[in-house]
Amino acid sequence: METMLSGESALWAACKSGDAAARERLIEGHLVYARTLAARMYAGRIDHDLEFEDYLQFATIGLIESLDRYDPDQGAQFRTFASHRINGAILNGIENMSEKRVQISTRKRIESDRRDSAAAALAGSGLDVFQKLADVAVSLAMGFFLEQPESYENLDAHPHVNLYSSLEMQQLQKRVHDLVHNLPQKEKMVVKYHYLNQVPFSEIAEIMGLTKGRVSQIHTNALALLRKATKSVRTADVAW
Amino acid sequence: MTSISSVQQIVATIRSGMGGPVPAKTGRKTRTDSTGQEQTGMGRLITERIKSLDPEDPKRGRKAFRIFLESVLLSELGEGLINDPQFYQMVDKIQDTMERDPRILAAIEQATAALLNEKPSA
Repeated sequence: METMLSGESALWAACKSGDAAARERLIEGHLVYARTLAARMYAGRIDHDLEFEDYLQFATIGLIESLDRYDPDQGAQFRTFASHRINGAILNGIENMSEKRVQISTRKRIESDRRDSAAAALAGSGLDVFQKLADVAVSLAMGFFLEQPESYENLDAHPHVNLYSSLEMQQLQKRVHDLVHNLPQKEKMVVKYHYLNQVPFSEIAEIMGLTKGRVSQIHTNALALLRKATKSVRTADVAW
Repeated sequence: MTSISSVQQIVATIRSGMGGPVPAKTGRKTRTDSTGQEQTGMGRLITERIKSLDPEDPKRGRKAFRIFLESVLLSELGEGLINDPQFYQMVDKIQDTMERDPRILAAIEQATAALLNEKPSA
Protein backbone atom coordinates (compact mmCIF):
# COMPACT_ATOMS: atom_id res chain seq x y z
CA MET A 1 0.00 0.00 0.00
CA GLU A 2 2.59 2.53 -1.15
CA THR A 3 0.14 5.17 -2.36
CA MET A 4 0.90 8.87 -2.13
CA LEU A 5 -1.36 11.84 -1.73
CA SER A 6 -1.59 14.18 -4.68
CA GLY A 7 1.07 16.84 -4.36
CA GLU A 8 2.53 15.05 -1.36
CA SER A 9 6.14 16.03 -2.09
CA ALA A 10 5.17 19.71 -1.96
CA LEU A 11 3.20 19.13 1.21
CA TRP A 12 6.21 17.50 2.87
CA ALA A 13 8.45 20.37 1.87
CA ALA A 14 5.94 22.86 3.30
CA CYS A 15 5.40 20.78 6.44
CA LYS A 16 9.12 20.50 7.16
CA SER A 17 9.46 24.26 6.79
CA GLY A 18 6.82 24.75 9.50
CA ASP A 19 3.58 25.04 7.53
CA ALA A 20 0.89 23.89 9.99
CA ALA A 21 -1.79 23.60 7.28
CA ALA A 22 0.44 21.27 5.24
CA ARG A 23 1.07 19.16 8.34
CA GLU A 24 -2.67 18.94 8.96
CA ARG A 25 -3.31 17.89 5.32
CA LEU A 26 -0.69 15.16 5.62
CA ILE A 27 -2.23 13.85 8.85
CA GLU A 28 -5.71 13.84 7.34
CA GLY A 29 -4.43 12.24 4.16
CA HIS A 30 -2.82 9.33 5.99
CA LEU A 31 -5.47 8.89 8.65
CA VAL A 32 -7.25 6.25 6.58
CA TYR A 33 -3.99 4.31 6.41
CA ALA A 34 -3.62 4.51 10.19
CA ARG A 35 -7.21 3.30 10.52
CA THR A 36 -6.44 0.37 8.21
CA LEU A 37 -3.47 -0.66 10.37
CA ALA A 38 -5.58 -0.28 13.53
CA ALA A 39 -8.32 -2.46 12.00
CA ARG A 40 -5.77 -5.12 11.02
CA MET A 41 -4.38 -5.22 14.57
CA TYR A 42 -7.90 -5.18 16.03
CA ALA A 43 -8.94 -8.14 13.85
CA GLY A 44 -6.01 -10.20 15.17
CA ARG A 45 -6.37 -9.11 18.80
CA ILE A 46 -6.04 -11.55 21.67
CA ASP A 47 -7.10 -8.99 24.29
CA HIS A 48 -10.84 -8.44 24.02
CA ASP A 49 -11.15 -5.73 26.65
CA LEU A 50 -10.15 -2.81 24.44
CA GLU A 51 -12.48 -1.18 21.90
CA PHE A 52 -11.60 -0.43 18.28
CA GLU A 53 -11.64 3.27 19.22
CA ASP A 54 -8.71 2.60 21.58
CA TYR A 55 -6.72 0.95 18.75
CA LEU A 56 -7.55 3.88 16.47
CA GLN A 57 -6.42 6.38 19.09
CA PHE A 58 -3.05 4.58 19.51
CA ALA A 59 -2.65 4.41 15.71
CA THR A 60 -3.34 8.12 15.34
CA ILE A 61 -0.70 8.90 17.96
CA GLY A 62 1.74 6.68 16.01
CA LEU A 63 0.86 8.47 12.78
CA ILE A 64 1.52 11.91 14.25
CA GLU A 65 4.82 10.76 15.76
CA SER A 66 5.81 9.32 12.37
CA LEU A 67 4.96 12.54 10.62
CA ASP A 68 7.19 14.54 12.93
CA ARG A 69 10.10 12.14 12.58
CA TYR A 70 9.90 11.34 8.86
CA ASP A 71 12.60 12.74 6.61
CA PRO A 72 11.53 12.70 2.92
CA ASP A 73 15.13 13.14 1.81
CA GLN A 74 15.98 9.65 3.08
CA GLY A 75 14.10 8.20 0.10
CA ALA A 76 11.68 5.89 1.92
CA GLN A 77 7.95 6.08 1.32
CA PHE A 78 6.17 7.68 4.27
CA ARG A 79 3.75 4.80 4.73
CA THR A 80 6.60 2.28 4.82
CA PHE A 81 8.29 4.40 7.49
CA ALA A 82 5.06 5.03 9.40
CA SER A 83 3.73 1.46 9.42
CA HIS A 84 6.36 0.27 11.95
CA ARG A 85 5.79 3.23 14.22
CA ILE A 86 1.98 3.01 14.05
CA ASN A 87 1.99 -0.73 14.79
CA GLY A 88 4.46 -0.08 17.60
CA ALA A 89 2.27 2.68 19.04
CA ILE A 90 -0.74 0.34 19.03
CA LEU A 91 1.22 -2.41 20.79
CA ASN A 92 2.62 0.06 23.35
CA GLY A 93 -0.86 1.43 23.97
CA ILE A 94 -2.30 -2.05 24.52
CA GLU A 95 0.53 -2.92 26.88
CA ASN A 96 0.12 0.28 28.92
CA MET A 97 -3.65 -0.17 29.16
CA SER A 98 -3.20 -3.79 30.22
CA GLU A 99 -0.66 -2.83 32.87
CA LYS A 100 -3.00 -0.17 34.24
CA ARG A 101 -5.86 -2.65 34.34
CA VAL A 102 -3.70 -5.16 36.19
CA GLN A 103 -2.62 -2.45 38.65
CA ILE A 104 -6.22 -1.34 39.24
CA SER A 105 -7.37 -4.93 39.65
CA THR A 106 -4.56 -5.70 42.12
CA ARG A 107 -5.30 -2.54 44.06
CA LYS A 108 -8.98 -3.49 44.35
CA ARG A 109 -8.06 -6.97 45.61
CA ILE A 110 -5.68 -5.51 48.18
CA GLU A 111 -8.33 -3.08 49.43
CA SER A 112 -10.87 -5.89 49.59
CA ASP A 113 -8.40 -8.05 51.57
CA ARG A 114 -7.91 -5.23 54.07
CA ARG A 115 -11.64 -4.58 54.48
CA ASP A 116 -12.24 -8.30 55.06
CA SER A 117 -9.44 -8.44 57.58
CA ALA A 118 -10.66 -5.31 59.39
CA ALA A 119 -14.25 -6.57 59.40
CA ALA A 120 -13.06 -9.62 61.36
CA ALA A 121 -13.10 -7.34 64.43
CA LEU A 122 -16.91 -7.18 64.10
CA ALA A 123 -17.27 -10.91 64.52
CA GLY A 124 -16.03 -10.99 68.11
CA SER A 125 -18.66 -11.28 70.77
CA GLY A 126 -18.80 -9.54 74.10
CA LEU A 127 -17.91 -6.08 72.86
CA ASP A 128 -20.38 -3.37 71.97
CA VAL A 129 -20.64 -1.99 68.47
CA PHE A 130 -18.63 1.13 69.30
CA GLN A 131 -15.71 -0.87 70.65
CA LYS A 132 -15.80 -3.11 67.58
CA LEU A 133 -15.85 -0.12 65.24
CA ALA A 134 -13.01 1.48 67.20
CA ASP A 135 -10.98 -1.72 66.72
CA VAL A 136 -11.74 -1.72 62.98
CA ALA A 137 -10.67 1.94 62.67
CA VAL A 138 -7.41 1.49 64.58
CA SER A 139 -6.60 -1.63 62.57
CA LEU A 140 -7.09 0.35 59.34
CA ALA A 141 -4.92 3.15 60.77
CA MET A 142 -2.08 0.66 61.30
CA GLY A 143 -2.48 -0.35 57.66
CA PHE A 144 -2.40 3.31 56.62
CA PHE A 145 0.95 3.82 58.38
CA LEU A 146 2.41 0.66 56.88
CA GLU A 147 1.36 1.75 53.42
CA GLN A 148 3.26 5.02 53.64
CA PRO A 149 6.69 4.88 52.01
CA GLU A 150 9.64 4.71 54.38
CA SER A 151 11.38 8.05 53.95
CA TYR A 152 12.26 8.99 57.45
CA GLU A 153 16.02 9.35 57.34
CA ASN A 154 17.24 12.23 59.43
CA LEU A 155 13.78 13.22 60.61
CA ASP A 156 15.35 15.31 63.33
CA ALA A 157 17.62 17.05 60.89
CA HIS A 158 14.86 17.68 58.36
CA PRO A 159 11.60 18.14 60.23
CA HIS A 160 10.21 19.99 57.21
CA VAL A 161 10.59 16.89 54.99
CA ASN A 162 6.82 16.82 54.49
CA LEU A 163 5.26 20.22 55.00
CA TYR A 164 1.78 18.70 55.08
CA SER A 165 2.52 16.32 57.89
CA SER A 166 3.65 17.04 61.41
CA LEU A 167 6.77 15.52 62.85
CA GLU A 168 4.59 13.47 65.19
CA MET A 169 2.71 11.80 62.33
CA GLN A 170 5.98 11.01 60.58
CA GLN A 171 7.50 9.63 63.78
CA LEU A 172 4.43 7.50 64.33
CA GLN A 173 4.75 6.07 60.82
CA LYS A 174 8.42 5.39 61.38
CA ARG A 175 7.66 3.71 64.71
CA VAL A 176 5.12 1.38 63.10
CA HIS A 177 7.57 0.50 60.32
CA ASP A 178 10.34 -0.14 62.87
CA LEU A 179 8.07 -2.39 64.93
CA VAL A 180 7.48 -4.66 61.93
CA HIS A 181 10.99 -6.05 62.49
CA ASN A 182 9.92 -7.29 65.94
CA LEU A 183 6.89 -9.22 64.66
CA PRO A 184 6.89 -13.04 64.63
CA GLN A 185 8.22 -14.46 61.38
CA LYS A 186 4.88 -15.22 59.66
CA GLU A 187 3.33 -11.90 60.65
CA LYS A 188 6.43 -10.07 59.43
CA MET A 189 6.33 -11.89 56.09
CA VAL A 190 2.64 -11.16 55.51
CA VAL A 191 3.08 -7.47 56.37
CA LYS A 192 6.12 -7.14 54.13
CA TYR A 193 4.52 -8.89 51.18
CA HIS A 194 1.21 -7.11 51.53
CA TYR A 195 2.24 -3.54 52.35
CA LEU A 196 5.77 -3.19 51.05
CA ASN A 197 5.32 -5.26 47.89
CA GLN A 198 1.57 -4.78 47.41
CA VAL A 199 0.83 -8.50 47.10
CA PRO A 200 -2.83 -9.61 47.60
CA PHE A 201 -3.58 -12.26 50.24
CA SER A 202 -4.28 -15.02 47.69
CA GLU A 203 -0.77 -14.70 46.21
CA ILE A 204 0.80 -14.53 49.67
CA ALA A 205 -1.11 -17.72 50.52
CA GLU A 206 0.48 -19.45 47.52
CA ILE A 207 3.95 -18.20 48.38
CA MET A 208 3.68 -19.27 52.02
CA GLY A 209 1.76 -22.50 51.38
CA LEU A 210 -1.23 -21.37 53.47
CA THR A 211 -4.90 -20.73 52.83
CA LYS A 212 -6.06 -17.19 52.07
CA GLY A 213 -8.14 -17.28 55.26
CA ARG A 214 -5.06 -18.13 57.31
CA VAL A 215 -3.13 -15.26 55.73
CA SER A 216 -5.99 -12.94 56.64
CA GLN A 217 -5.83 -14.18 60.25
CA ILE A 218 -2.06 -13.64 60.37
CA HIS A 219 -2.55 -10.16 58.93
CA THR A 220 -5.18 -9.31 61.57
CA ASN A 221 -2.87 -10.60 64.29
CA ALA A 222 0.08 -8.62 62.89
CA LEU A 223 -1.91 -5.38 63.01
CA ALA A 224 -3.10 -6.15 66.55
CA LEU A 225 0.51 -6.73 67.67
CA LEU A 226 1.67 -3.54 65.97
CA ARG A 227 -1.17 -1.65 67.63
CA LYS A 228 -0.20 -2.97 71.04
CA ALA A 229 3.50 -2.27 70.50
CA THR A 230 2.83 1.22 69.15
CA LYS A 231 0.69 2.00 72.15
CA SER A 232 3.27 0.71 74.59
CA VAL A 233 6.05 2.91 73.21
CA ARG A 234 3.94 6.01 72.89
CA THR A 235 5.43 8.60 75.16
CA ALA A 236 2.44 10.79 75.91
CA ASP A 237 -0.78 9.11 76.93
CA VAL A 238 -4.26 10.47 76.51
CA ALA A 239 -5.50 12.85 79.16
CA TRP A 240 -9.19 12.78 79.86
CA MET B 1 -5.12 -0.20 72.91
CA THR B 2 -8.01 2.23 73.27
CA SER B 3 -9.59 0.99 76.45
CA ILE B 4 -13.24 0.16 76.64
CA SER B 5 -13.66 2.97 79.11
CA SER B 6 -12.11 5.43 76.65
CA VAL B 7 -14.45 4.40 73.85
CA GLN B 8 -17.42 4.50 76.19
CA GLN B 9 -16.37 7.93 77.41
CA ILE B 10 -16.17 9.18 73.84
CA VAL B 11 -19.60 7.72 73.08
CA ALA B 12 -21.10 9.18 76.25
CA THR B 13 -19.66 12.62 75.49
CA ILE B 14 -21.00 12.57 71.93
CA ARG B 15 -24.41 11.29 72.97
CA SER B 16 -24.87 13.86 75.67
CA GLY B 17 -23.77 16.58 73.24
CA MET B 18 -26.32 15.33 70.71
CA GLY B 19 -29.10 15.90 73.21
CA GLY B 20 -29.30 12.37 74.49
CA PRO B 21 -29.88 11.34 78.06
CA VAL B 22 -27.53 13.22 80.32
CA PRO B 23 -26.83 11.87 83.79
CA ALA B 24 -28.67 13.72 86.52
CA LYS B 25 -26.72 16.54 88.10
CA THR B 26 -24.88 15.38 91.14
CA GLY B 27 -23.40 18.64 92.22
CA ARG B 28 -20.15 18.11 90.35
CA LYS B 29 -18.70 21.28 88.88
CA THR B 30 -17.35 19.68 85.70
CA ARG B 31 -17.63 16.45 83.76
CA THR B 32 -15.11 13.98 85.02
CA ASP B 33 -13.46 10.92 83.58
CA SER B 34 -13.43 7.42 85.00
CA THR B 35 -10.68 8.33 87.44
CA GLY B 36 -12.59 11.32 88.70
CA GLN B 37 -10.37 13.87 86.95
CA GLU B 38 -11.78 16.87 85.13
CA GLN B 39 -12.54 16.44 81.48
CA THR B 40 -9.57 17.80 79.53
CA GLY B 41 -8.35 18.28 75.94
CA MET B 42 -10.22 15.79 73.86
CA GLY B 43 -13.37 15.61 75.97
CA ARG B 44 -13.79 19.35 75.61
CA LEU B 45 -12.97 19.15 71.90
CA ILE B 46 -15.66 16.55 71.30
CA THR B 47 -18.21 18.62 73.17
CA GLU B 48 -17.35 21.71 71.15
CA ARG B 49 -17.47 19.87 67.85
CA ILE B 50 -20.80 18.26 68.63
CA LYS B 51 -22.24 21.62 69.62
CA SER B 52 -21.22 23.03 66.25
CA LEU B 53 -23.38 20.49 64.38
CA ASP B 54 -26.55 21.93 62.88
CA PRO B 55 -29.55 20.06 64.33
CA GLU B 56 -31.22 20.29 60.91
CA ASP B 57 -28.20 18.96 59.01
CA PRO B 58 -29.26 15.78 57.17
CA LYS B 59 -25.67 14.54 57.43
CA ARG B 60 -25.62 15.04 61.17
CA GLY B 61 -25.38 11.31 61.85
CA ARG B 62 -22.42 10.81 59.55
CA LYS B 63 -20.70 13.85 61.04
CA ALA B 64 -21.30 12.56 64.56
CA PHE B 65 -19.77 9.22 63.58
CA ARG B 66 -16.83 11.10 62.06
CA ILE B 67 -16.28 12.85 65.40
CA PHE B 68 -16.36 9.42 67.07
CA LEU B 69 -13.76 8.09 64.61
CA GLU B 70 -11.43 11.07 65.01
CA SER B 71 -11.74 10.90 68.79
CA VAL B 72 -11.00 7.18 68.95
CA LEU B 73 -7.97 7.55 66.70
CA LEU B 74 -6.61 10.55 68.59
CA SER B 75 -7.12 8.67 71.84
CA GLU B 76 -5.23 5.68 70.42
CA LEU B 77 -2.49 7.43 68.47
CA GLY B 78 -1.92 10.63 70.39
CA GLU B 79 -3.65 13.98 70.64
CA GLY B 80 -0.57 15.61 69.12
CA LEU B 81 -1.96 14.64 65.72
CA ILE B 82 -4.93 16.94 66.14
CA ASN B 83 -3.50 19.71 63.96
CA ASP B 84 -1.96 17.41 61.35
CA PRO B 85 -3.59 17.55 57.90
CA GLN B 86 -2.33 14.04 57.17
CA PHE B 87 -4.23 12.74 60.19
CA TYR B 88 -7.51 13.97 58.68
CA GLN B 89 -6.52 12.54 55.30
CA MET B 90 -6.04 9.22 57.08
CA VAL B 91 -9.44 9.49 58.79
CA ASP B 92 -11.06 10.24 55.40
CA LYS B 93 -9.54 7.09 53.99
CA ILE B 94 -10.49 4.96 56.99
CA GLN B 95 -14.10 6.19 56.99
CA ASP B 96 -14.37 5.63 53.24
CA THR B 97 -12.95 2.10 53.56
CA MET B 98 -15.33 1.29 56.42
CA GLU B 99 -18.37 2.58 54.56
CA ARG B 100 -17.55 0.51 51.48
CA ASP B 101 -17.86 -2.76 53.40
CA PRO B 102 -21.52 -3.74 53.89
CA ARG B 103 -20.79 -5.53 57.19
CA ILE B 104 -18.98 -2.54 58.64
CA LEU B 105 -21.53 -0.12 57.19
CA ALA B 106 -24.33 -1.95 58.99
CA ALA B 107 -22.44 -1.56 62.26
CA ILE B 108 -21.82 2.13 61.50
CA GLU B 109 -25.54 2.67 60.93
CA GLN B 110 -26.29 0.99 64.24
CA ALA B 111 -23.69 3.12 66.00
CA THR B 112 -24.86 6.32 64.30
CA ALA B 113 -28.45 5.66 65.35
CA ALA B 114 -27.23 5.20 68.92
CA LEU B 115 -25.26 8.45 68.76
CA LEU B 116 -28.37 10.26 67.53
CA ASN B 117 -30.48 8.43 70.09
CA GLU B 118 -32.62 6.99 67.30
CA LYS B 119 -33.71 3.50 66.41
CA PRO B 120 -31.58 2.06 63.59
CA SER B 121 -33.32 1.95 60.20
CA ALA B 122 -34.43 -1.50 58.99
